[in-house]
Amino acid sequence: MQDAVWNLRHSASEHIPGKLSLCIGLPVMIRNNDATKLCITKGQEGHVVGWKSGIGSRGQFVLETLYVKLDRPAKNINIEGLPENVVPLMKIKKSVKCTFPNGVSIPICRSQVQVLPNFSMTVYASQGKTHPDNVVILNSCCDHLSYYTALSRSSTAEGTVIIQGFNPNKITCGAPGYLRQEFRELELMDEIAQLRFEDKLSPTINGHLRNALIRQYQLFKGELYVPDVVPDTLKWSKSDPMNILKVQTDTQWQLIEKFKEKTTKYTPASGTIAIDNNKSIKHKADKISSVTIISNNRPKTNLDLQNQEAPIGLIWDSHDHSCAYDAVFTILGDIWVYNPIMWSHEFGLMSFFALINLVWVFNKFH
Amino acid sequence: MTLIAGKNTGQPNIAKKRFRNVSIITELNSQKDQLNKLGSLRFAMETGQKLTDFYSDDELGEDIDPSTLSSIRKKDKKIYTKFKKTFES
Repeated sequence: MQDAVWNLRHSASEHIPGKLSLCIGLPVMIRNNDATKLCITKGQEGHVVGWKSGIGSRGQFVLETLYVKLDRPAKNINIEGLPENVVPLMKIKKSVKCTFPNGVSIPICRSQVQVLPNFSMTVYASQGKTHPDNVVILNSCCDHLSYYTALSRSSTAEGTVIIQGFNPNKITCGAPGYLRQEFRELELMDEIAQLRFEDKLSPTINGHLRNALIRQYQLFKGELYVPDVVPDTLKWSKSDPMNILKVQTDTQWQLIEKFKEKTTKYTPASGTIAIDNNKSIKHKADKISSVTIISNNRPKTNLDLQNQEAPIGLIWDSHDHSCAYDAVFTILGDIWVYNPIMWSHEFGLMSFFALINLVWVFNKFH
Repeated sequence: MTLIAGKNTGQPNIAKKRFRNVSIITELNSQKDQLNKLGSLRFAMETGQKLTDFYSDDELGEDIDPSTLSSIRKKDKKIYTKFKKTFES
């Protein structure tokens, strides 16, 4: 069973490899933001320069630390005792969903150094990178967006290589309808913004939302009006019309401060269910640590993950004016609730470090 | 002039040193995984090394983070319990 899990392909275990096959000099990509200040960031490329191995709980060979020399880091990194731009990567414990070829998936808590071999990367992972030499497979790319992302990684044309043929229709046969509509709307928005800036816009064009604004402008100028600057390929006409936009009704704005009732009234977002305020216990933000606030005030029944109807969190109280920290506490609470024992411990450790830092700063300015 | 790789004159050659170990960009994860596997084997061979296999330390997840938990479908629950027994035996 464990062998099957180890041998799953990397993308079947959320790109945290069960089995990492390495040798010195092998190109790798870091998959986790371990330390952004040291350029150990998700997507950073590098080469293996060494490792420290150990024996795992099943007697298997495990990586304790992997030493990687970073390729073109944002800045030069010097760690004491290591050559320039060489950084250590520790194994990290993380929950991953392993999906078997038959579609069944199981959750696994995995300790592994978070790198992948870097002989290939997905278009998704390549976003934001620039490569002087860029080898791409366009054949598998599904649309013009992927073509763009893959090809625009290149910084030179002569360094660009395309493997296999590709379908030029995806980038030459015109934009699909929805995309053309979007571009046309942007052209109109452009003109409206320009006129407004120059103070030449008719006062009747006063919509606050995009849809209303474009509709007003279309009605004002006529359906067939095309701004001069629109490129030929986007121009609309009688045979290829851009219809006047339909009226869209948006949710009304509400000022929540006005409500003095005991329960706070608000319009639930579509797809969510409102929490019954009377059932929840009001929080006291004055108590000391985040852990105790959450554990004292969150009734267990409300934290039942299976029957959860609304997101877990603190409820806005218009009487004592819930503070901005609530957002943070809510997020922490939401994390905590999935494993109270572990997170109480972890939060404790975090607070400890935060306190140590504070004490250090106090001492410095004493 | 073409940028499509091939063996004819005028076509770029991805076996050349310049492109040999350049990370290939592809849309599909399956292609990426396979290219990485083959690339690692080739790289080790060319540099006269052997690949060392390092395995992860896995436990069936008690400490599940919320994002993973929410994605476990109900259907998988029964199978999960079954797996757990097999896994721990």
